[in-house]
Amino acid sequence: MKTSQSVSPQIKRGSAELAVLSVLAETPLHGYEIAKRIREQTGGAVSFDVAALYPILYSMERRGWVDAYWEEASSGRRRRCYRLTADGKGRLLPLRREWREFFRGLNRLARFSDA
Amino acid sequence: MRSWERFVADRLARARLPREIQDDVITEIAAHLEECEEELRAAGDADARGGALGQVQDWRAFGRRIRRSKEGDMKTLRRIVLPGVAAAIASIASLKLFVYLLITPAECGPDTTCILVSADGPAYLPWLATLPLAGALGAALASFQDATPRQRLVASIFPALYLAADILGLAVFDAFYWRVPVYWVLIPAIACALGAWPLLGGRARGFAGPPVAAAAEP
Repeated sequence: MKTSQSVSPQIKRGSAELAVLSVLAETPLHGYEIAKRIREQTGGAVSFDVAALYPILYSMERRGWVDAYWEEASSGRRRRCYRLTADGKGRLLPLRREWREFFRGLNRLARFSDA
Repeated sequence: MRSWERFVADRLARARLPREIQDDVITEIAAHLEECEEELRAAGDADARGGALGQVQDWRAFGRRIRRSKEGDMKTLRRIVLPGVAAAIASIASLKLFVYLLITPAECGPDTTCILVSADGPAYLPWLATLPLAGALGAALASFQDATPRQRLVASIFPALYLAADILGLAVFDAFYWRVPVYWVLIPAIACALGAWPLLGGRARGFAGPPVAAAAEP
């Protein structure tokens, strides 16, 4: 995930969780498609490479936020798909609220700074 | 696809992923990189393979992160702390036994007896002689939990770590313990490590080597 080095690990992790859980809330996806959708839906502002994405997915799977299953594509390639679990949905709701508040606060701050 | 799988398997071999997840991780990562390569090629990238390879800059760090993500923190407890505590308990038990058998309580006041335990006392050398067994116990229990050689070594020297913590704790209340020489801890640590030595070689029990030997770039 491309973010500044100065951003704290908690913010990085929280934003990564929000991004992954948000795209999985729409539909089950495999890893490559998750990264692609995040990149497209954020206009390229947020992007995950392999090294960033899979540790997050595996960690979420261990915590029970996502569930994984194998499917075979028409090309014959086996792909591991992830879908959001009830626990994952339960995690996403407060995460969205926290980030909304965070950005609202930043917006207020930015306006004060502009003035 | 096979070439990507061979490549990923080779790069992740040092991560020592547990056998039950290793093949799935390799297949998944290889599929991702292959799709990445295909997309870059379709977009006209002259170096599509290079672009896909650039997804992971440090394979060793990536392997470690995958392993931690899959396992969580409980594995560390099971692989290091519990075997280490067992080794420390064994060493304390042997020390108590030798003190009971070999040291006669001395009178150190009216109606008061003291037991003095020090590195030049009669219980020290027999206790030191049993430490390789305690170290071996820690390493063996850690090995049973699929610990890496380094984790086994750490588990084996827990008796010395306990001794160091004990001395540091006592040093808070008694300045005498600041003068305790380092070898009081170092020699027991070496004795424990010597006992663990035969168990430090080779791979952890539950880990598989790379499923393919080829190290070719895709």
